[in-house]
Amino acid sequence: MQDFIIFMLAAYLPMNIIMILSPFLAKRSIRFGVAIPEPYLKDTSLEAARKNYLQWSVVVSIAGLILYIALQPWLGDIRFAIALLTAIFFSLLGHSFLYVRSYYRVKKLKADKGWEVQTPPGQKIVVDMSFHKQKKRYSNLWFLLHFAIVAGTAIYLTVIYDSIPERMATHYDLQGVADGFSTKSFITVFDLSIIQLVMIGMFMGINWLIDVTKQQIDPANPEASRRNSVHFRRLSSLLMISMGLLIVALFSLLKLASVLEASSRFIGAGTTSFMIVLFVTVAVFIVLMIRAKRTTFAEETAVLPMDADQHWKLGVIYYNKSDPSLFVEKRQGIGYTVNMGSPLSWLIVIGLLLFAGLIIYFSSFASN
Amino acid sequence: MMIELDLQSEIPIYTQLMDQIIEGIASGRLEPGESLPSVRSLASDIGINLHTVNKAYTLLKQEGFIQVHRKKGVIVVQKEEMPQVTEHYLAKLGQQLRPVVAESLCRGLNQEQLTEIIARLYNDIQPQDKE
Repeated sequence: MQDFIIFMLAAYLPMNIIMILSPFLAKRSIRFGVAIPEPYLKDTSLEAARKNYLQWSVVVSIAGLILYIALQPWLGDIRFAIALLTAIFFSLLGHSFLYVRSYYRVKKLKADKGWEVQTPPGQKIVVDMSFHKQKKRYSNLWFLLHFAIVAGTAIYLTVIYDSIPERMATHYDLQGVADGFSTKSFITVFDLSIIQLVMIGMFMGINWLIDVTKQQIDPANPEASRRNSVHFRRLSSLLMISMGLLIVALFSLLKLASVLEASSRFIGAGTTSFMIVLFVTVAVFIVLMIRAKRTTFAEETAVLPMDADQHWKLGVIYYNKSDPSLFVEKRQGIGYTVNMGSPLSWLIVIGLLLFAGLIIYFSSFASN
Repeated sequence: MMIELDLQSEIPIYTQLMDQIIEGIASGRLEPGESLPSVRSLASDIGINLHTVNKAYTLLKQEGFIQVHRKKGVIVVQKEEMPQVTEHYLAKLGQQLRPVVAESLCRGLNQEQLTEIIARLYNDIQPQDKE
């Protein structure tokens, strides 16, 4: 298969499927970032808003695809990169626009029909006093396995350092044929080891976050809700550990293949099979996690106090000055977000942006 | 132990929190020596100001129901250290019950009915597994 088709399937397609399905990846009581009290969840106008988003979302995704083909990605590497980025950017922008439009539409609907007045957000909070005493995630000690792979690779690289060719392949196309080369140096030999360490640090950080994030228990059904939310956290933790292991192993494999001048067939097959395993793992976990998340909150649940609309700017940004929590679970999709009402979270966001910038700088530096 | 708080109630949140913790201890759902979440962690879970939780903990500590250790954190006191019936407590209890009895009188609730209610509550709260 051609590169440009593979990338389409690996990057553009999953991304668009997630964006098309995003209205369904939220807590039950949340529609496009607006909290809807239970009795009105089945209202036909809400269904219409969802259907409208769905239709236009598919249109945007297909338009992005047409744009991609129109830019003729088969005409060389640069042309291909431009086409892919343009299509992704177009689709992101289009879906953001659709989301914001639906957000305002549902918000207006809620105001017009007076749902908030008839059923204000709940004020009951249930907290399990021993929630943080139970085992909610797998130990960070599991990452010793990851560290062992990194250390093993680094030691091996040090041992064979002298026999590594002066000019080594550092970039491959999808068939595993080398198309980029670097001169041997300390940085070009150990660059992936450093990236591996940074990634392990990131995964360990998220695994820690899974433990400390505030509990959210459904007052209508506390016991089942607590159980399912712990289940959700343990799945997330396991996903972080296994995803980290796969990525770390893949990087070691790539580096060894490069310094040992492995055949292109081996590299191509190795990378492809790793990617497939990674995709399948992530997909399986996401399905399980969505199920755990949806059962954490029962059908009859009122809107939790922290889910009240005034705390969620544009439905996605959590801003609540009276909540001392820094990290909270997102209402829409899977993952965490910060409480922008706390000054510390601004520091965290700026820190993360700087960190991302540093990585981009470092990787462009390393590839030259 | 699960606690339930009503953010919109007329009863202040720190009072609700104290009441729930004391009831937890009384019913045995919070055991002597059991550790309670830290101020920060509990405030974050409930989504309220740190001072509110701190106030509840400080008052509970003053009354002698919990201890705050530098290492172990917040724990429920041991059985032998549990606050006992003191003169001060009896005076406070009388003061708290007086308006309750007064209102019952106004409404024509007789003494027997009132004591029956108290007996039922006593039964409801005390540890169930000892029967």
